[in-house]
Amino acid sequence: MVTRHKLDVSLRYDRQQELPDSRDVEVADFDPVPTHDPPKAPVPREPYLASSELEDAVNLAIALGRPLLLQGDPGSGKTRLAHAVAFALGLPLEEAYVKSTSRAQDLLYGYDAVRRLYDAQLRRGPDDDRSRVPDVREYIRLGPLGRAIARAEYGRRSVVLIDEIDKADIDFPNDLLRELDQLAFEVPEAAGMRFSVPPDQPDLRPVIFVTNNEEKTLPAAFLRRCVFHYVEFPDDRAHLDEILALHEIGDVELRAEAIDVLLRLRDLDLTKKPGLSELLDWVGYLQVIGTPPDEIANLPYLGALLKQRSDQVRALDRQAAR
Amino acid sequence: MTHGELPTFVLEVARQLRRRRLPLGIDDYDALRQALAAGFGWSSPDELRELCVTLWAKSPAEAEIVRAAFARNRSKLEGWDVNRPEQAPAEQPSEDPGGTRQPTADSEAYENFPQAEPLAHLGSVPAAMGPVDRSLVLVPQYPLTEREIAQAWRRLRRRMRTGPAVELDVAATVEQHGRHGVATPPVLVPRRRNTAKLLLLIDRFGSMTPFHGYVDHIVRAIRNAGRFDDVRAVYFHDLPGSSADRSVLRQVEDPFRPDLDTVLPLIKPMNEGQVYDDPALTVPHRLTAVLDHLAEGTAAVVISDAGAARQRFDIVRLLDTVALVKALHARAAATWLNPVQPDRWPRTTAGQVHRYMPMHPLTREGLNRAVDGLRGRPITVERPL
Repeated sequence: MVTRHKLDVSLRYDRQQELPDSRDVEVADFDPVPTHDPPKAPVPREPYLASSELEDAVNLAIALGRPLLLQGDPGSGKTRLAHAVAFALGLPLEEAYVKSTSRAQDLLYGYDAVRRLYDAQLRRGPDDDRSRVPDVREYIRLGPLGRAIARAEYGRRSVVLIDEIDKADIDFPNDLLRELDQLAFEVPEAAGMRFSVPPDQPDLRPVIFVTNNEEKTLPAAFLRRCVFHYVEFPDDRAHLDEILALHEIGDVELRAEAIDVLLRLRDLDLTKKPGLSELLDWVGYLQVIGTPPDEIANLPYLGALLKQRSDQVRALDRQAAR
Repeated sequence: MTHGELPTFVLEVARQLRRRRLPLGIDDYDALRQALAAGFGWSSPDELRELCVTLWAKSPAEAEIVRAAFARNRSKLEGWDVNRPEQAPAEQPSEDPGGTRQPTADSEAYENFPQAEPLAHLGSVPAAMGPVDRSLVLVPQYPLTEREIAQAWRRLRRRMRTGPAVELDVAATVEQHGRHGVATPPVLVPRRRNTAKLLLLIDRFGSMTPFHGYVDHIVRAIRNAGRFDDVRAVYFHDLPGSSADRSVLRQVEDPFRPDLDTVLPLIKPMNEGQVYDDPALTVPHRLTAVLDHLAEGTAAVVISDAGAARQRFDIVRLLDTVALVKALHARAAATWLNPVQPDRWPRTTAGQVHRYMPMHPLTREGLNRAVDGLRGRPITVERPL
């Protein structure tokens, strides 16, 4: 039986939970994964305000053991969610940033054949000690998803982030189908080396987040295995204000003015509407250099908000017309 | 799993969604059943709806479709929040006897329809649109979904090793080692990538106007399929240009015969013509410049109705079309996609073009055959050029 067919309600993400500023969490990027007593390191809190729909989607994905596919405009906080959930649950976060050359296997493990070849050849000298030929396992490094599965085998849970899956070739999601279904994989290069999440323990399944920027259509077979959530830009003032406050923008007037400007800009017909990350960058800088709130309407440091010349010209024209 | 089946109306919603070509399967029903068993989606009809959106929709457009289906069935959803997991299966039998349609539920929905309110006088501001009827699906639905188009075009691939040498070539390394017998550096080769390129030549305006939305949808889907090294779309109206020498028409022996078979070898490839970078036809390029820059392995696809939409036959247009096709054939594998259905091709220019080069309708089958042809599968045409 595939582990995915068992429900797991042992873990819940609570968006309103009170969290400390920092907590000790197992170090994620550590290979090989220690079987017990893993090293821990403090992780700072990730300020994140999830909507209740998003909270539901996260909990549903955890319960069903399916990856949560997050879609939405760039800068709407898709990637940050994984950090926030990992921190809230106190689990290590394994991050896989997908590139155009990424292959599915890289997520599971990498095999350094070239180094092994060198080692094997160099040991062939006259004073060679045959017994010292290292084990093939020494040339295998687990990837992010591989480490999460190995960690589950040792009885510990992790959060996995597969970021911007659409950057890779279309084979990438297809090649992951079996591993995502069964949460198990083996390393053909090293006989007998295999890892799997114990099938009877759904509470060890890694929590997987996948983000997608819609640059490519993902294969239907992959989509079928995911739980989907579209991260909307929060268009209501109160929510935006709360987000800014969470990111330590203390000045109430500054927040109100900045939100005003942002919502106005988003009403224009722009090539790329400014998102949350742009807003946070912009207001953060305005606060640090102490811009008076009444000057914000003049759109200072517009480059942080709008990244295209035509958009900037349009925004400034509109500003002058007011 | 001990919790029973899904409530009947959810199955009815799912059936409607399948008719909207959302690929829902047993697995998706099972996911919903499990989620309900885990306690999700019980507090209100809206929560149940959002649960189904999360599980079943995979894009904002699909989410809209799922929400609309729930809005259409909202009368059946009343009282959902008082149903507890244990009671829900028990209530089913009374809900839907034998799966017949219930007119009462529908008439209830009619009562909630928005009413038009006549204006006493025209105000200075336009009347508001009023609340949007959520049960209407307002996202465009084309004959083929983006996934279906992507699936067809995904098969067009031309895998070659390009880029930096990073992959170990085991066979070559072993061979080299065997030949020299001493420590040798490993042989590295570049990774394989898809190097297939695509040039889309798209007819715009005139009789193609009704197909603009669908053709744009297809172009977008092909771009998003993410298989290609490069996809370039150029636009033109009717044809990019005319053939170099129209005097060959005078040599057609029988002026009443609607074909060019006798003069076919005399027609020269089109070398003067203009195509545009944008659908509005404002940024011109010379056709020859575009064609001369085609890299090896490019596939050319013409999307045009070739006179079939207006049921016209025009021998001059046919001549010019043959000239264009010859120009394409000289540089790339070419195929033709026609948005008009095939039974309207005969006795039009399209019918004749179809005799000279592969032409396919914009259906799933047609796309698959077009891609097969571009992949090199021989497609017989009546009179190859």
